[in-house]
Amino acid sequence: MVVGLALVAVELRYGTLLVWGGLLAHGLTLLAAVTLSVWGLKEIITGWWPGAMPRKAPARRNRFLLPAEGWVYGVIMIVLCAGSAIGNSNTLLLVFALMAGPFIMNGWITFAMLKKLNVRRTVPPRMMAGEPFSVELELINPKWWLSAWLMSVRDKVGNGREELNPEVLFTRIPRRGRETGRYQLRLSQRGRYSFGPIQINSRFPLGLVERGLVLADTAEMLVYPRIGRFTASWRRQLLTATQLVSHAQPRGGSFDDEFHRIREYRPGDDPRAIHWRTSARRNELMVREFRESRDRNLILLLDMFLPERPTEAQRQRLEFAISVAATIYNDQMLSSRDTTVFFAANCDPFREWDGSSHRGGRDELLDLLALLQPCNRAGLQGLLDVVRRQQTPHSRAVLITTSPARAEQWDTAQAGHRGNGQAYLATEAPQLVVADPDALAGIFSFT
Amino acid sequence: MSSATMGANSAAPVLRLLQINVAVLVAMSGTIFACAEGAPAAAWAVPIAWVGLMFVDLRPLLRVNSWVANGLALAVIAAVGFEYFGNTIESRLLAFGHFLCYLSWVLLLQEKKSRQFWWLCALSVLQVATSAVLTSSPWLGLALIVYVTYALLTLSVFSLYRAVSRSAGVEQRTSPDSGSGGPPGSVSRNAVRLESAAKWITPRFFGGVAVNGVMSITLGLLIFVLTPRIWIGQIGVIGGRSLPSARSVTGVSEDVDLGDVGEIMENPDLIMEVQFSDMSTGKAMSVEEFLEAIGAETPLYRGIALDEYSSGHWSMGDIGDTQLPNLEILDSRRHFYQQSIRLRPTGISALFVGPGGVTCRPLQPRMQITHERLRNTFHREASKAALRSETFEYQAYSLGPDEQMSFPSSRSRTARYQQRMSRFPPGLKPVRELAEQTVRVPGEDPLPPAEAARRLVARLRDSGEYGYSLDTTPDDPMADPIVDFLANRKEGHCEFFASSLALMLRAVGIPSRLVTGFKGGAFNENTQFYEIRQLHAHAWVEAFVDNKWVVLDPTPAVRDQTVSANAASSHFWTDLVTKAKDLWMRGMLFSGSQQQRMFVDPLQKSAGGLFSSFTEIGSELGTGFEPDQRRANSRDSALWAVLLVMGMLALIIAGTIAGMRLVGKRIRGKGRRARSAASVAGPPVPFYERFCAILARNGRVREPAQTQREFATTLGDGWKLNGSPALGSDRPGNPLRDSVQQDRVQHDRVQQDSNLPENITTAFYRIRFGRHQLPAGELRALDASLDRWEQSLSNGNPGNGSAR
Repeated sequence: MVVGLALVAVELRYGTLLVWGGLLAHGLTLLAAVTLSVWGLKEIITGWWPGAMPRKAPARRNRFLLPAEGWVYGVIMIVLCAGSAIGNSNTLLLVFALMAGPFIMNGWITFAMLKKLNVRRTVPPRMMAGEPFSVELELINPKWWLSAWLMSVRDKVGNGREELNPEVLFTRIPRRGRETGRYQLRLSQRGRYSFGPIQINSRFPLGLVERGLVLADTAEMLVYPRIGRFTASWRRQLLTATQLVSHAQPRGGSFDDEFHRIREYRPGDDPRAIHWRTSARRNELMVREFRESRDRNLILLLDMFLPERPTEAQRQRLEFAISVAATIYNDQMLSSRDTTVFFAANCDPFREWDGSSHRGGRDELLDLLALLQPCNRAGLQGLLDVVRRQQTPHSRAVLITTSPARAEQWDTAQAGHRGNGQAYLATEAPQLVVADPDALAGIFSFT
Repeated sequence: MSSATMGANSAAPVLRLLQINVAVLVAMSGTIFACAEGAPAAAWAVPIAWVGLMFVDLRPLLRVNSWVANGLALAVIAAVGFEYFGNTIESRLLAFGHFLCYLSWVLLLQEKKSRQFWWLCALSVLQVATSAVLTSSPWLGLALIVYVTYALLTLSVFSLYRAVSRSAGVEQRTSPDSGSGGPPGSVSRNAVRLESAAKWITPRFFGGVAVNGVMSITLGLLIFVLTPRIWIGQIGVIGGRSLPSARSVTGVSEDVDLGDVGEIMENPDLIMEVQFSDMSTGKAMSVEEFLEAIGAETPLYRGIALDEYSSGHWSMGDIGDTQLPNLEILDSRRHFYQQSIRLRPTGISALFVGPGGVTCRPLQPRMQITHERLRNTFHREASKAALRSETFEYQAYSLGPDEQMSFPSSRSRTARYQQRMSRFPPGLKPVRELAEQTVRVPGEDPLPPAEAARRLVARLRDSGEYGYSLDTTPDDPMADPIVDFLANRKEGHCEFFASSLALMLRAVGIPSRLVTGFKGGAFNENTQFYEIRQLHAHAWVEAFVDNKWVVLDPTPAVRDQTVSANAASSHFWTDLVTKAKDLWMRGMLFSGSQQQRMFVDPLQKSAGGLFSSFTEIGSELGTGFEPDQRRANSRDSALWAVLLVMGMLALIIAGTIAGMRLVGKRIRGKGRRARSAASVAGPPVPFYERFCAILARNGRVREPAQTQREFATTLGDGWKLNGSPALGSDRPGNPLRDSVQQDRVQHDRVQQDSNLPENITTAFYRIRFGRHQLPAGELRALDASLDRWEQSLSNGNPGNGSAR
């Protein structure tokens, strides 16, 4: 606007172009200057009062940037132009013109290359935290007459707490062609990550002008908590009641012993377990080994307490707890058939998930775990109630909490619960897991 | 290695090419500067660039660290500091140029990253710009084109290098989470997708750069032509020194030394361009028409009239007779013929005017012309710098033979001038003797001056005694050149002939003067101007006979043939070079007034014509709307008319654009639908089409909303082929029924035939939607089934649904 007004003022005051070009040049100059001023004014108004001319965010938006090289180039050009006017030099003006031509061409070529370009992004809907994966970007050039060179496609990935800007550089997309590139990501935090918008930038051919296209193309991905691995013994201890063959007697229909295998007799085995036929055949004592069925339902409880102003260590501890919960759930699903999992977490709101009524597969609970938010008012009573409601002789409960202090609170709550005359059924108490990475270092790892 | 994971090292070829390009660019700019400066110092950029490339970039043997580089830069500043404090603009400019050179040398010896590359490019451009101030010779034009092309390539490679550096294998990390057991931060890794074969630099890349280069340079030249020449400074450029400047040769010098003209007779440099027209009608005229109109025989362009001769040297003294040209006569009723002249810088103030020129006026504002009445020569008032560097445009006016006029000076001055013109230099006795011998035949009465002049001209030009030659080697170096010419060599060029005639005329008492200028010219169809070049330079004589100055040209006609031969003896390359030089000079001397005449005036004329038309329309409209009332102001009507017409034009244009878009959309939509329909429809399936055709002949057609499967289902049992007739009809009386194989084949056929619509539809689905290809045997079986089915339908088998 300022430039336009200045041009109008100068031309009206001095009439330079009136002298040089006559009325026609004078009129055209004034018209151009007025147009520039009006456009500038409009931009100012929309900048200060967006409500004045509300417009929907466009799906495609152009952007223009003059990089440092362009600025230097422009300054040199201006100096040459001024020098030629002052020195009355056509040769210097020629040098200026031969610089201006490529500058304008650079801007036009990048603008023309960017027209009609489109990007398709393929993102896996879900991924595990810490797991590397790639995101595919397909750049499509539908123009019939012009290839697109040196297109840098930049995506934006973030979850509100961290942000990345991965890029794929496409050297050339032929006309009416498409190319696919992939960038790699490894996201460390669970949760919902949003992708987009996508920026397509280019400075080709001379690097003096950068033009870009911003495409409002968004996508989302859920990042599951990191799933680790328990040691085999701890997994058995946690999820199964590994019974020696001597305890293979079935207990009133609650458990069905599973025949596991026939092995050699070891001292201490129950003689009643000897399999005589095989022994005769093998000419050595062979016994039947039973294992208690692992098909026990799991009640997985997660304490989502986090203080109002948590330290980073506390935050990490909670994330670790979620990872442990996810690992336990994953192991349960992998190792057990026909079991159900009931999950509860004392966040705000209280979340419960019943695997028996949800048949969406293991992804459902992992989706839930990915999106759980901590709560600074998370009490343990709700979890206790869940245990009371859901625990059966067929089920086993596991509570994961973040600190020993919370574990003590749990014990106190349980004791109070019994003291109120509300007894559990003849089941074992929920197993308590304090999600302390150091404490669990021997039995749990992420690798 | 997948292209997506290509790392930064893979861009080594790009880096190498960039290093080479930048080194060559710097060497080029240094060479250009050295040529412009006229001193070889800056050309050291060539070996230094080579050293930098070989021992700093490609093999890091000689890299200068930042401390040393800073020290060298300080030394550079000190070195040019002395130059800078010189007294002239030129010395300061040279200091600046040297500073750029030396600085780029220091950078060449450093390890280069993006910033150093960019600085080298910028310094190189500034060096070339400085060179453009120092010179404006034609070679600079070619150098600029080559330099700009190479610079565009370098910048393109640089742009590629920057893009690769930013992307290839670059990792971005968020801050890692602290705390034990916490996972590391998120990581992203950029990637590069190469077009093909893991190559960064492909022939296509160079092709793109070439196209971009051509378009950029074309646009740049267009900008150069269209940029208004609004000169705001008074600083004369230094570059004018390389333009054709004052040289002591005929045609463009204010004094003449006999013998110098030879070299310019082959010089094709353009001196001026002339256009003739009738001032009354404005109609353009050819030179022949012009000469006929003014009563002249040859196109002689008078420049300088020289009065005094001494020992082979002609000069003109000051006669104090300078005035402004009389332009009032142009308003008189005389019929003038106009010469529009565009004179290149000559370095002298004299203006060249065609035959019969009586007055002159400049076309450029704030320019002044003076007129020496006694000599009838015109001069331009301008500084020496302007004379050396600026084109001058002016118009000269000639009268027909019946309307000639003269501009007498004061009597005393005229008398003094006449005396001067009659002065015969001492020491030229042979010249006098020859002249008297020619005009005074014993026994004859003294000839009248006109006849005497004619005889002298004939003696020199037509007698055959004297020949034309550009060779000016004297036979007797001690003798006066004219005496040597007349007595000994008897060969020479126009200067000798003209000088001889002038002196011989004076010897017999006829005042005469030597006139230099140009004769002839060549018409340029493109510019519609007559082009007069150095090789058209000529000298002739004006003699004061019968109270008027008469033009006498004693040079033999073979001179014109020589000039024409020289003009025509152009080798293709010489011609090309000449044309290129002309174009360059035209560009470098392109002025605002030329721009105005080339672009603005035609536009204004058209706009003015258009406005006049609107005014007429407006007047007529005004008349039509207000027949009885006072007519509206015609300007208001014109304005309405303008608005109306513009509105109509805008509507037409908008309508055309909208219509084209609509049509285009329709065509594209049709194409898209056809393509999508084709993709939906898929390739034709012949057996299914045959199946449909058979059904259609029997009165059953699939509805558009029905799928093929639904259609097959609705066909019902009636359309199934009954297996028994097929069996029966196939094998009448075939006794070989007990063969298991034949039974099986038969069984299969029955199965197929009995459920033909569904089988056909299933096969169709497999091809169309499953993208399967049926084996040939299956296709044949289907065809066979269709044959039988068709047969049975035509035989009117029961339940064939023909009644349906």
